[in-house]
Amino acid sequence: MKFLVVDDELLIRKSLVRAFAASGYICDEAENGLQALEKIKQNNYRGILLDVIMPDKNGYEVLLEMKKQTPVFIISAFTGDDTNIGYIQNDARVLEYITKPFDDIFAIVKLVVAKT
Amino acid sequence: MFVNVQNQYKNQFLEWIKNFDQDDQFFQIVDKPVDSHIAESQLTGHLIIGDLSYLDFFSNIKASKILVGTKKTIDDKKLFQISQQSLFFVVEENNSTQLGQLLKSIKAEALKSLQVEFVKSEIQKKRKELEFLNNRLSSESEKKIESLEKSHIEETEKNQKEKNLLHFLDFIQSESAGDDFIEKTFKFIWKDLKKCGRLNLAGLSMLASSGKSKILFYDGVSESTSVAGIDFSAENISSQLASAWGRPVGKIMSWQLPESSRESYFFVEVVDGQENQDKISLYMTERIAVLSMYLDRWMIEKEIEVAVDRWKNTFRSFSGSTHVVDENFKIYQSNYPHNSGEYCYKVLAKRDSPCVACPIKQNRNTNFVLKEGVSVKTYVSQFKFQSKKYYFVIYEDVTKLNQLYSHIIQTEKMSTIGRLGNHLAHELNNPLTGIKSYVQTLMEDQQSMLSLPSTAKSDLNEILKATIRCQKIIKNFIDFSQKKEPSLEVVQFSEVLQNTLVLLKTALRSHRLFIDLKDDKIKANAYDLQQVLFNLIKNSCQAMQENSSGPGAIKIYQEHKELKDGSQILFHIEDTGPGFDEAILKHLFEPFMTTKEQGEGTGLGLYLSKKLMNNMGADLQVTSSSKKGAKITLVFALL
Repeated sequence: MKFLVVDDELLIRKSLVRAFAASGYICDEAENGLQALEKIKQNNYRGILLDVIMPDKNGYEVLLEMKKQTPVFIISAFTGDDTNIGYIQNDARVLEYITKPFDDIFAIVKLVVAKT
Repeated sequence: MFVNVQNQYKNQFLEWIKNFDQDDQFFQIVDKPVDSHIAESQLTGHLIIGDLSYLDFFSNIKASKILVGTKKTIDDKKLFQISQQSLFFVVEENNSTQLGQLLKSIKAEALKSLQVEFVKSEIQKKRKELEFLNNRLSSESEKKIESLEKSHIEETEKNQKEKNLLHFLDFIQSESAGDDFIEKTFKFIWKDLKKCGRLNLAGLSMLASSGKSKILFYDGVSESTSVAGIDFSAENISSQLASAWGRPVGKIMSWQLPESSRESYFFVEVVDGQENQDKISLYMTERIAVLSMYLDRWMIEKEIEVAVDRWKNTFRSFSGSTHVVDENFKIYQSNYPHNSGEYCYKVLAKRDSPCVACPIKQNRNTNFVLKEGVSVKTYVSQFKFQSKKYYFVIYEDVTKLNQLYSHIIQTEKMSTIGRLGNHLAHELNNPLTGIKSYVQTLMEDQQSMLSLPSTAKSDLNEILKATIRCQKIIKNFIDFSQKKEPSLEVVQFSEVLQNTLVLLKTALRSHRLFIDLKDDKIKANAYDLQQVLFNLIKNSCQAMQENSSGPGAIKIYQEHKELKDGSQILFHIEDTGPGFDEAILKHLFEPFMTTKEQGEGTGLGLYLSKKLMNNMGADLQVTSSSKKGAKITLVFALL
């Protein structure tokens, strides 16, 4: 099964996709919430790496609207100005919080693979 | 001359008188009969004429006696004895001629003696007259002496008075210029008036320019002043003063000062009766004209003094440095202790020529740097005095104000930078994360690595390290802007330094570096410390480049310092640059303080470095600065 990487930042998105690819996993990409919801509807993913602050529906809205129980990994800088963090924390589908910037991208790949 | 004549000779005697004494009536017969029976007491005449029967009486009678008898009788012995007595004459009986001659001679004798008596009495009279005259003369002369003496006393008194007056004039002339003139005058007059009579106080009332009368009075001990609306031209001065002083006031004698330019009165409060008041009045009347002249002068001087004082104080109280300067830049008057006559640019700006932005030259308010470290705002106004141009200039020191203003701007800048920086940091994080992730991916990708040159791996590693450093800096910046305490760890100073020097290779290329460090460890945030070292070494390099006399040298060495409350480890960074100017030294750790050309530096380096060090519980100090170089010391607690 594929993973879905949702991030409006091209470099982050692509580097994650490259890292997963280098580890032998295939990823779909979405650059905003709308695209993400569309792809989630059409595909079944092993896990979703979801950025929070994005244009056209943010990560919080994606979580709110997606019906599937796919495991979610929140990618965020966690600057403290995100008022919806509390809700995200109460969502059982959210398995892990990954803080940007990443220290080691392969550690993230390993974590995500291990949890799903 | 009264004559007692014996009856028998009466006719004869009368016959003789008829012949010889008709006119003179010198002899007069006492109407007592002279006969043999006559008693001795009846013979009262001056001359007794009788015969021998009178003989017994004759001896006892003191008057002149003429005994008429015969020649024979006269020759009688007893008779002879009697005739030897004085005042006794004997004539022959019936010898009329002899009697006549005798009477004649008696008469002549008597007349002679009468004449003598007369002269005598005349002499007596004259003597008396003389005596009287003498008496009168002596009394006159006494009177004269008395009056002379009196006039002498008067003269002395007059002299004394004149002397007193002269003394007063002398006094008032010599004291009139003195500071305590009024006090001394009061004392002087007081002393004199005391001699005239008792008095309570002496005073001077003068109409001040405010229209109120000011009263200066002296009570023999001290001098006091009170301000009251006393109208001395009115009659009830005592009651006016009483209500002003709040005490009963005795009789007031007052004298208007005739020469005074304003309405002024000298007055005394007297105690004793009319006689003393007259004396006081006389004393004052004699002196009031002179007194008035000097008092008026004193009052005018006092008023001028007050006006000058007021002006001087007003001038001095200007908080800014305030000067009156003439058109040749010479200070005429100043509220600073500058000698007038000095050139304003010399004294105020320490220059040899007028300032470029001189407000006097342009006759308009200007803002400029007066001298190093002092910015001023000037207010100038021109005026003419005795056909010369003068400028009234206030130099307001706005250095502090400017500093405060720039501080506000800086704070604002900082907070904007903080806000923007925070945002910027987050924005930078994303691409940095991307770069790092790509590098990591690339390095993990064995196939890709094989197609790259052999040095690629170490190059990629450098890129990775750099991105990590960038991320750390961004993190620190966020921490700093969010005022988070930096996380402290035990690091080796020399190691942090080495990591920093890698980044400064280019800057250090033209300078020599001497490092003398041991492996001492300190508690610090390695990245913050690296930032600090980076800033300091970069600053030194830049400073030494300006000072282009050959390559510079940076010495970095350590030192232990024992203190009462723990030991310190000091790391010194010494360069051979131009050092800091004294003016800059004071503001060295203020933000946006830069010696570099505009655009070259932000002026935040030392400010942030010090902040970073302080946040680590350490300190950054400038330990020495001269024209030959600067020494900055990082102070850590010894572990």
